[in-house]
Amino acid sequence: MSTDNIIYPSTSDDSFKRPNHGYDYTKGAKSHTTIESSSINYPTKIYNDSLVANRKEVSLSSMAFLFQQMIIHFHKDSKTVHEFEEKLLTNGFQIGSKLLELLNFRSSINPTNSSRTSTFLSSNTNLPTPKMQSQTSYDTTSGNSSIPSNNAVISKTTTQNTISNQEAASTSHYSSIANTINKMKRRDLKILDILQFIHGTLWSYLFNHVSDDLVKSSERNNEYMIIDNNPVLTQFINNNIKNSCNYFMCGIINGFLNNAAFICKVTPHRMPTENSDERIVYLIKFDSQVLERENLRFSS
Amino acid sequence: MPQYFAIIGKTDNPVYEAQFISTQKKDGTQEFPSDLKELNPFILHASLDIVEDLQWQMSPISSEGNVSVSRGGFLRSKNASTADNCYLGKIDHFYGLAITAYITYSGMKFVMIHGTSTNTNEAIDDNNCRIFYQEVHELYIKTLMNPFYNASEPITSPIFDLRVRQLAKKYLK
Amino acid sequence: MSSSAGQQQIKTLKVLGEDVWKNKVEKINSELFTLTYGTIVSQLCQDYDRDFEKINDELYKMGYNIGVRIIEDFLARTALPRCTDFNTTSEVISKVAFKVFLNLTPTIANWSQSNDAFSLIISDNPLSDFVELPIDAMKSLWYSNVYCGVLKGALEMVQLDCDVSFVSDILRGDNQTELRIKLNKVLKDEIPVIED
Repeated sequence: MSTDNIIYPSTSDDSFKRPNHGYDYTKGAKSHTTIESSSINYPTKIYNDSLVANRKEVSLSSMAFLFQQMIIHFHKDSKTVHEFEEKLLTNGFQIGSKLLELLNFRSSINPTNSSRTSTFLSSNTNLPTPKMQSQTSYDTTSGNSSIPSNNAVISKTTTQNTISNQEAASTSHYSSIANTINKMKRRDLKILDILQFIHGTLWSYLFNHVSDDLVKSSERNNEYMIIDNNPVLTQFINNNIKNSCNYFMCGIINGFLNNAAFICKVTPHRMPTENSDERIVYLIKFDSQVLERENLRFSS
Repeated sequence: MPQYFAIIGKTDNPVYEAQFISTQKKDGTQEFPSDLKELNPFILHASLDIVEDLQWQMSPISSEGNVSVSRGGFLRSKNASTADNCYLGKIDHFYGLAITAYITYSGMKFVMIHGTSTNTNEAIDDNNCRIFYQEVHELYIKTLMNPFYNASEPITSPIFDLRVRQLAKKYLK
Repeated sequence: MSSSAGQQQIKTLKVLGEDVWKNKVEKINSELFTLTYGTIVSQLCQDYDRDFEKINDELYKMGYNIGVRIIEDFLARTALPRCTDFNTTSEVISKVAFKVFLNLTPTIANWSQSNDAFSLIISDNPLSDFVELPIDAMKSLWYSNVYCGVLKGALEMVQLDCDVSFVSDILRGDNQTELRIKLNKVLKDEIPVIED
């Protein structure tokens, strides 16, 4: 495709000027990739690594220190408390949106109809490596299970894979799980379903246990609460900004829900009881359109 | 059979587009006819309404594998409430071109127009199509996990492009 | 290079590292760690408008602040005495420190002739899971630069003034991720200034 005589679109985004061998939204669909003809070697790691949970762990101290530095950095840059909380919310939001896709996808690998099992996410037990996942226990209804075939190599490869020509980049080079999945996990369409997923799977993934409670508010129709008796991330934070720091976790929940089209606002509230002094309640307020949709589509 | 594939974001913005040409036949059915080629994005976007409607249906696929016009319908498969609702199958057609769709967990729509050869009435291989979508879904998640990629941005990585094309060669004819 | 007494010491350190990791450390999912770091870097890219030199510096500073505090945590958990030589220091860093905090055991390599500098080869770096650098970042960003700051800060608190920097990084297309630590001098009873 020659570059002369092309009238470039007037846009302030000048990425179109850079030579681009992939998709370019200003030019539209291409019929063939130019990568075969180009001599540039593209190393890639992420497209070769597997998405299967590898149950790696780091120490809580590392996470706490990193979290602390993040707080300090954001705090420095913000002029008001509100701005600080917004920043934490936005960053948590990014994480939440990624986890929505990742955790749902991983739920599909394990042939279970329940989205609430977290056996394959727990890192406390000595579970075998992902290659032998068929040994972990799971619920299946008859006829729906699919055991990964031996051809699908489920391993984590971090070797860089330069693509010099198409032959080297054949699909057998990397681990792909998607073709072993018989049935993807259902997208959650109802409020309760997705909240159960957060209460069970998301919390287990993050903290190795399900959240302490999932409650629907009796006063208002659109309010739900997730309770955490011992918030892990903020346990070492000073009391005067502790509640603001909980906005990070709110952001994760918010990102998770908003991207699944359950628009809501999430706020943290400290509600200590006799048993737990640090108890935090994450209040989720769903937008009216969500409730409307729920009523229209799913009312029986 | 050529295909036109696109990933559409939540504000109807194109995140990725590609056209797959079949190299097997040389009788003029490899590509979309040139007068129709420009119509592809329009056809695709016209079917988005249907996709959005199906997005919130409990069982968008009836047991026949095609979308039932009425909601649910009598012929629901036994496990309707647990059936896969990501892959929507064939959702629309336009003068003999079939359109299939797939929705990811965060509402990204994978839509594809299947060109047909003029000679035979080849039906879409449903299973291969589904696996193709699932594989692209996996690639999409890998792209999304990258902290340098913001959601709904166009996916410009040439590796992604290459992999999608390899998948198309493998699963779509 | 090390005598049999040295070998014995290395083995003890290894056992200590594994023991502390297994019994005395609370653990958390490493992907949460990875994702949090990812959003920090992403936020920095926005704040500094993709000026990767500045981002490198900021990551280094954050690491330094972590390092000066994490050393206390480390000494409390492992109760290790002061190292007798730099060689031992390298073993402690590799077999105990990385193990206890990140469940990693980087290999030690490339000792300099005067025994004052060595490299750590990190395989399976948790911070770079799922990461692919954009083209403009590939030339100047050291994604895991926080490690350099942490080591600098921690070593300074035990009176070792070092220069720590990345030599190569898998994310940049190199073969391995290599970190170089060079001892400048041993500090004598100075109270280092803690930068903010």
